[in-house]
Amino acid sequence: MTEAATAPNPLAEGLHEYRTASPAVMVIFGATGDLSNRKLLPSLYNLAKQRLLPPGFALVGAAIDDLSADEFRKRTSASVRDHSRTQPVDDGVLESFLSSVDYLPIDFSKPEGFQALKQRLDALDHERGAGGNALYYCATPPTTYATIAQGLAAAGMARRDDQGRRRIVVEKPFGTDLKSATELNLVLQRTFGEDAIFRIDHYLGKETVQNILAFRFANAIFEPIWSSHYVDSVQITVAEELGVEHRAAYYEKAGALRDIVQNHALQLLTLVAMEPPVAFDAVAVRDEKVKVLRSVRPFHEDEVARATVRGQYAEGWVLGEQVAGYRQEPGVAADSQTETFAALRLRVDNWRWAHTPFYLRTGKRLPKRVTEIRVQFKRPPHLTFGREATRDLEPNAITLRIQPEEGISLRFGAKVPTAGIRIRSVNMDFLYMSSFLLDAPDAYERLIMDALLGDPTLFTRADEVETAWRLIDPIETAWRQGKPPVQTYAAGTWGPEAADKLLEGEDREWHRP
Amino acid sequence: MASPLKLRTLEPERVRSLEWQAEGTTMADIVAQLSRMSAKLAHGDAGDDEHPHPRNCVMNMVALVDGDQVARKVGSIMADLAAHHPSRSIILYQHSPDLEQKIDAGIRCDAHTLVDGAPVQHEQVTLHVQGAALEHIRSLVEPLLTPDVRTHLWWTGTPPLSDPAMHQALDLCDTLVVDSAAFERPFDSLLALARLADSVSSQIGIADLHWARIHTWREVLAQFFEPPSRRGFLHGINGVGIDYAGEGRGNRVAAGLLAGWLSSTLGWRLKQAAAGRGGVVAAYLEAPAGHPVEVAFRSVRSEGQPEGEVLGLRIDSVANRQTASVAIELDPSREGSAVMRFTVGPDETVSQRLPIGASEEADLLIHLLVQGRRDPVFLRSLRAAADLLQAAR
Repeated sequence: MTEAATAPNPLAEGLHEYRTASPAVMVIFGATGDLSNRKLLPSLYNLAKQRLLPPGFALVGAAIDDLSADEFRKRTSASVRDHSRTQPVDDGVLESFLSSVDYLPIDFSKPEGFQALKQRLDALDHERGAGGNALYYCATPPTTYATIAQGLAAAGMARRDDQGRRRIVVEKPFGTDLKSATELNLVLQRTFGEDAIFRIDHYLGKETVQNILAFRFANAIFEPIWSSHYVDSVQITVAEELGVEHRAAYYEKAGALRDIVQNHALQLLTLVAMEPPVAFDAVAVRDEKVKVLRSVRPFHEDEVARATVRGQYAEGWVLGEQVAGYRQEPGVAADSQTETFAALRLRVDNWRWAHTPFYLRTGKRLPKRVTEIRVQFKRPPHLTFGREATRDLEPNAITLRIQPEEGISLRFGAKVPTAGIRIRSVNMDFLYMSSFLLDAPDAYERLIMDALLGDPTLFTRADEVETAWRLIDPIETAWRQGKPPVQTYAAGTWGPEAADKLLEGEDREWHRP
Repeated sequence: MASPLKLRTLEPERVRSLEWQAEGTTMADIVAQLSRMSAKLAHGDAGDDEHPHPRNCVMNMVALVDGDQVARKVGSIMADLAAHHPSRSIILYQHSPDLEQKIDAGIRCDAHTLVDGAPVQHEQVTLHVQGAALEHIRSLVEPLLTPDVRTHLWWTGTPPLSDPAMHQALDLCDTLVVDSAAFERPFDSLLALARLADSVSSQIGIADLHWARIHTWREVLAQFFEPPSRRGFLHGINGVGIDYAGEGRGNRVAAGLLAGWLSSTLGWRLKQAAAGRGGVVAAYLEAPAGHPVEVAFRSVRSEGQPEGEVLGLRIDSVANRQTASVAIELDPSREGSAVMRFTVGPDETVSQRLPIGASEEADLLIHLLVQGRRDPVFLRSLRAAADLLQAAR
């Protein structure tokens, strides 16, 4: 390749938010499924609307359903109209986008299906000038990832050594334990190579999750106090008000630990605890994240009962409506031991965080949907104003709210305007949306674009996945042995009592989000 | 520009407003009144035992206007802009400096609560000023500015770019915003703008709404040449054709800026230029590799497009004994849409429809504000455009 070809594009200088990928054909496996319908197709339309799809881009939907290309285009159109974040839909853009959409029925278990796909892709590649670039998106059940990767490789549509021109995107969960994750990684790495594997945890595509890094590393005033010298504890809450909905078949096998803690919650922990990366690039950021995961003290079996809590929701009231308990949900076993709530106390054994506990909790049917990280600081070493004046004063805290009201809140003490001295806690709130009144792109828009560009910074690397499972596996093993037992909690509460006791034992309490 | 920068809409039922007007008032009264109204809104949103709700302010936006119609339009754009940038805006309506000194003022404070609960406050101060104070704009505007946030000065119409009053006004602001599409004498004003950009402090940004209008054209071209396999063609460009809306010479500023952007970015050296009838300009340049580059633009009569707007662009290139061409044309039958056709080497021609075209002034302003204070690409394109148009004269 010539020097000119590899140099930065001079025409891109000064273009705000300029990001463009090389022409490519994208294949969505499972294109008729829910993820494709609600997220992927609307996101692609919105990328087209922002002119972010490269000239020559083409999309092939591939699924078991026997549809014609026209029928799939009609479904795509309906999906965009129903679920696009930007409304009203721009008919011109949609029409243009649909003209690049094709469909092929495929049975992933049969090699001839992949051969037919190869022929279709070759033709499109020639017609659109895509230069052999392809992005395969597995919007299918995780059990099919290995089959698809192997099918693509057998048909000559994937090679380890093609310098990332052909990439594969897989959705979490990446395996169900360390063994299955390692096996899946091996299959993907043998067929595509690590540089071409994009493991999506859509949390990382959220603007406010990325803002954690901006908050920590673009400001000089927070980093000096971001350690166990000043931080008493960190709480990470990922709460949902919804129950298991229509996902009982999956959830019965996964539970809260695998569904949320192994990925979303640990991702948040890495971002809040990591050292400053040298640069915001895939190697530096992911190296630092893996270092954090490796620093988390592994659980011994007998420790799991002391430092973890698992719960299952019983009937109760959420958002003013009576809801059924987990075991009464359709598709859930009457004696199910699956946890819908998990709370953990983690220790990060490194120079920065020694002696600062990290508390993680996640659950379904909690009072509201909220994701936040609360960094609680230590009390001042001396009470200048006396115990009585500071009776109502709580320790300083910084809360990073990920959703729904994205923002940052700082709690500090202020004098109550009375004749005497009385100090009370007050909050200073920064609401993300009241300073940046933008309709932020959907996480999938960002991540699809990154995958097209070949930028894996916001995707999970193989060693990250495996290190996370290494932490989770001993907990899962102990839980399967009933240590600790599943405790019930009424839907609409913040989890079982044992979760409160987990902190009370250390003279702390959960923050109420 | 990417569409996420579009304005959000505010819902009228979620707005609480306070208004105040006075004739023959003083700046001291206006400042005091503004402070009272702002505090009242903050207290009004809070409960009895709550602190007043603080509201964000990310910028001051100052607009200088000299006509009723422009003043109304600017007022409306500023209010729209507040849905995107919580701000304080000041509209200074410049009446005659020769009349007796008088200040009439109006203040409107709006407290919005967005659908997601985010509180946004916008304060708009409108000053009608006549008399000698107009020669001291700074004394009128500075007391009204919110401290510690950026100040953008939007000078509508044809600003007195060579006038000392302009330099005084620039002391107030971080960015001067003009619209070269509205210049009465586009050629002269473009040269004056280029001179001003060279002479002001590097801390002050100069921005042109017309430059923002051609952003999409730049973006699409950059995307076309992005793949490494096409990059060689970028350095083999030998022909550029630009069509702009108008009759005769019209307003060539956008076409000039586009040509200036290409020539300054790709290092082309201007050899000579000539202007013909019907607005045609032909310029001959030399690429760093030594091959000639011909740049031509012409005016094309267009019903729907504002004068000066770029209507089409064609680029031809040769590299490694292969040719490539890309042509982008606005589709007159479909607003905001263009058709792009390109051929690379022996491949078939690919045709694609793109969202492109005119944006509202508020959108353009947002674009410039998000872009940042000083845009070096604009400044060097402006210089190159001024050189090219001057050579063609």
